Amino acid sequence: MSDSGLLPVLVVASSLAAGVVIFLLKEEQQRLRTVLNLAAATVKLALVGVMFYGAVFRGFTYEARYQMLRDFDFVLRVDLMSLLFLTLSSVLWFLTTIYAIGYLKGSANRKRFFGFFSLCVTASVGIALAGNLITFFIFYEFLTLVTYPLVVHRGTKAALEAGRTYLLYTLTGGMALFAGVVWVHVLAGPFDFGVTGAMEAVAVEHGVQVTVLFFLLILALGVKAALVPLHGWLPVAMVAPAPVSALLHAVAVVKAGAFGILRVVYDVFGVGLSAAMELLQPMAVLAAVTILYGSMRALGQDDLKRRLAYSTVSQVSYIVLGAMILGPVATIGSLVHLVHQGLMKITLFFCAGNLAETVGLHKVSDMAGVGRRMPWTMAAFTVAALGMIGVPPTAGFVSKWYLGLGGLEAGQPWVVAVLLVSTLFNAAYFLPVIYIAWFRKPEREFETHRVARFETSWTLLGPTLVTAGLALGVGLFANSIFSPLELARASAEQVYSIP
Amino acid sequence: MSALLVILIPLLGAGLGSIWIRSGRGRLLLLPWAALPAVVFALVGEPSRSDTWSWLILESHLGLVHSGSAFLFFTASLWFLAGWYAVGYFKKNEEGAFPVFWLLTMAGNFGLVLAGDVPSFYSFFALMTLSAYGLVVSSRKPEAWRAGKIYIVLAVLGEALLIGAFLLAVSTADSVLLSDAAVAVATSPYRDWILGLGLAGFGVKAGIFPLHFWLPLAHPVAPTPASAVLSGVMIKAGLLGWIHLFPGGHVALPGWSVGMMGLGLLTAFYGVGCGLGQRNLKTILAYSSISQMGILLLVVGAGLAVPEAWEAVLVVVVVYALNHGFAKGALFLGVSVGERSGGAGPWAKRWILAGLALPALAIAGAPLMGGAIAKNAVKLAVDVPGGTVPGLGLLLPLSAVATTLLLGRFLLLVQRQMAAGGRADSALSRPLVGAWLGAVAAAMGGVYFAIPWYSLELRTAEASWMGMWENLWPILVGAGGLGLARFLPGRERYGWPPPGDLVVPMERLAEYGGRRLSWLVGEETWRINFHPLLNRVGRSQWMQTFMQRGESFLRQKETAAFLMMLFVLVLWWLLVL
Repeated sequence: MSDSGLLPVLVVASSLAAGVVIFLLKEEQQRLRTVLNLAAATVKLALVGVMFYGAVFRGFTYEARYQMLRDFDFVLRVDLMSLLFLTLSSVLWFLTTIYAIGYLKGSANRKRFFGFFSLCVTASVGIALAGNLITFFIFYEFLTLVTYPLVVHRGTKAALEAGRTYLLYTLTGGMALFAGVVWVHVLAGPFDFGVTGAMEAVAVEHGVQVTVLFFLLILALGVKAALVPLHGWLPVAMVAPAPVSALLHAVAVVKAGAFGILRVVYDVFGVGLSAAMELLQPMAVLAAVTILYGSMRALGQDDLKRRLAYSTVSQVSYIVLGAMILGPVATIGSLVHLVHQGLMKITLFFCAGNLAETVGLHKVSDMAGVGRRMPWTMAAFTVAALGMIGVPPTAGFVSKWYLGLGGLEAGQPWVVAVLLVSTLFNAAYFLPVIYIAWFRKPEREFETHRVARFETSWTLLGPTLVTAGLALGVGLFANSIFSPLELARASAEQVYSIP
Repeated sequence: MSALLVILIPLLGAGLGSIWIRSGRGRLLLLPWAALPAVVFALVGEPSRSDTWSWLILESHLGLVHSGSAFLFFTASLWFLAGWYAVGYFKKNEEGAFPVFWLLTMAGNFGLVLAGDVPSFYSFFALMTLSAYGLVVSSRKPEAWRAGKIYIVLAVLGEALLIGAFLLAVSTADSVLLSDAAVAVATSPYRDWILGLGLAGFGVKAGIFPLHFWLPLAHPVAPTPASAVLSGVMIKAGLLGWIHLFPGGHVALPGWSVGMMGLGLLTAFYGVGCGLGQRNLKTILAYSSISQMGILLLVVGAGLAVPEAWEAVLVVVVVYALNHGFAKGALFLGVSVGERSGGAGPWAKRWILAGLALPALAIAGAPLMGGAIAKNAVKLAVDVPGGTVPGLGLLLPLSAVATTLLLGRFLLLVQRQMAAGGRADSALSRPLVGAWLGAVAAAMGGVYFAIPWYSLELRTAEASWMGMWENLWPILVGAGGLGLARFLPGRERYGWPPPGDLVVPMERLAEYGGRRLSWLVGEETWRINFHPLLNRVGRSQWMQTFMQRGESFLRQKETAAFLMMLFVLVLWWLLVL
């Protein structure tokens, strides 16, 4: 294929160009900016669709390679794992763009917001496509920087404080990651993702270094993936506007960390080496601790977004846990949860945004009877929350199913116990919200911040309903050929067939 | 007609009921009509054929396998009758969201009967369980909220236990099919775990001691048609789960067998014991259901003793469940018929009482009725070589005596209530009486109707005078006991134990534990309490301060710098090493 190198570059370029042009526009050129945003999102979606078709059904490979310095290549490549993350981010970017246009209607500094918003997506798409550690690192750090303006967008004291915490955590993590990346290259030289022979070759001679390196990389990436005790920035960063939180928790930052961990385990060290050196067990335990800790903290939060933030801490570690359990079934669970958690969590944050914007609700304890005022929003919330609990046949059930089976396949039945306890915790902090919203009588008249034909403006409601539909659909139709599960299965096969 | 359609129609009805048809009788009419396709499918659907929908959930297999015809027949029929009953039950615009929850619950119940694979079964089980919350709290009264809270906590606990059992079973089987799972459980290294988790997880739904206490609260507090399906058919989902999951016929499990038989007997007598002290008619019936589910667990347990016993047990439990389902449904539906008979004449009242006596006799196992066939079958089934509970030959008829006592007391209370005039605020309506009579008829003839699906051998024990006497004497003894009880001193001191028996000390314990905890930490009760204890733990000062402080400590610059230095030092040390 002659165009096989062009497509990945175009996918990255589509949002990068949109971001740059938006910065060049004037603040008032609102209509043009909207058109540009949506056009770029649509183009990216189409390009990803083409690559999806080519890679999955026709077996094409897409790779772009440029030499940066001597042996260091800048590689953009599509494999099935990147396709999972890529599809997730382009679909959710499209929806979040619509949501953000509605959400920020009439507020200040929208040019800055949408500019950085586009750059943020560029970074996460780059992370998905990165074909080696260096390329990954470049986009990873790029993401750190372009997300900061989004976190502090409101410019309030709390927002600036949150931004400072965010930078402190992520830059420190970035430094550690940089050290790790350099170290890998010093030891094994440059190599592409998937070529795990390089680390295996040096593992015999430099066993201690390889071990330290593994933990260094995982913990460095664990800052963004919010592994306990490196998670402190995440609940603070929820002061950001709802679309940012949504993207942060579902696709961009948190997922970048989780995806990085997957890359390190599967494509840098490889499952064979990780298992042989017994590197996985301690991290699996840490992931389990994070799962339970996050849920426990979520239980005590009255602020809806804070509750959701702690839930993210817990849920993202499902991905890490799956990666740290040897065997294809656990890998499927881990990869599929990358997508499933994104769909469910973005729905929940959209709903939180709808509640805050439409009727001014921020606290769980104020939500009594809001289901009557905003039935569609709360229906979406219910679907996503049940998914988080793992109620079948939602997305969360499918993830949990594969993680549990994976744990058993690897002879680690304690994983099932962790999942059970986590299910109970999730039920304990999500069911009360559902109960209060639907079954309690409203305690007072709800304010109306937005007058619209439906319960809220369609730009807010539409994306919410679509993601909720997806969160249900990917579980209900998990076995169909277009489901994330199918792609995760194929991807796990790819991981485990590598010699 | 396909099995999927049977489930989709009620789901579609739920959608219609929540979006387009917002109120009025039209919406209530969805209830019986959406159940009708399932009744038809049970009768005309091809038995032991399963269709595969490979794209659905994790590959769905739906069909009338594994006694599916008989199970779906009584399940769908009772849903149909109760739905019809509901049309006449509610006052104008009183029903609220009830029809939507009803249809969702019904779809779940049909689905789990038709499911042939674990993920579908679990999905429909969850749909039924969670939607039934809406039925339980339907009246929005304080006792409904309390029952709903206890119901949902137990239900979620049950769901969590079940996902554990299913994961372990499927992992061993390497197949999602329920039929493969049971085979694999026989040799699974996690066999005891699966059996334990399955027994408890489904035991919540079936109301097995000591997980039964939600049931006497939730079943009675729901509107009467919902009580009927909760206690008549939904409770049987637990039974269905056991016979799907337990590896009967593949392995002999004498230990589990005796344990389950013992637990079943305990539940059977415990249910009657608690039920005798109740004043509320529906609570008495709920306790009777607990007791009857105990008998079913006894039978299931007997089937695990030796592999040869299982085949017969499968038939017996379905026949018994069918008899109890129709009869208990008829009794529940009759409660509101009795309540509303204030305007009826004395003869109509006598007929109503007679109509209630028939299903009661059917449950007690009176001769010539469906219940006798079921009882005889139970006697044959539990008569297994090897491990059995001592004294079973006497305990089983004694449980019939106990049941007669309990239901006899129920009838006496109905009589007294009707004599006192019943509830004045509502009158009998045609759908109400029609559906109830339908249920009574089903309780009488349902078993005969279902028997063609099985061998006719079940009837043989009935044929002799001796067999008839064996079924008759426990009822005569029970009736005699009831007559004697009238002369006992203090017979009016009913009302103990309180409905839900164990739940009362448990609630107190939770309250006490919570207060202890809040005394420790000086925490006020959180306004949005869902479960007091749980939230106290989450909101306690200890959690707040300890963890919050820990997190803000980690967020400080100095800490970060220090940790960085430490990190570099460790790295350096490792490298030098």
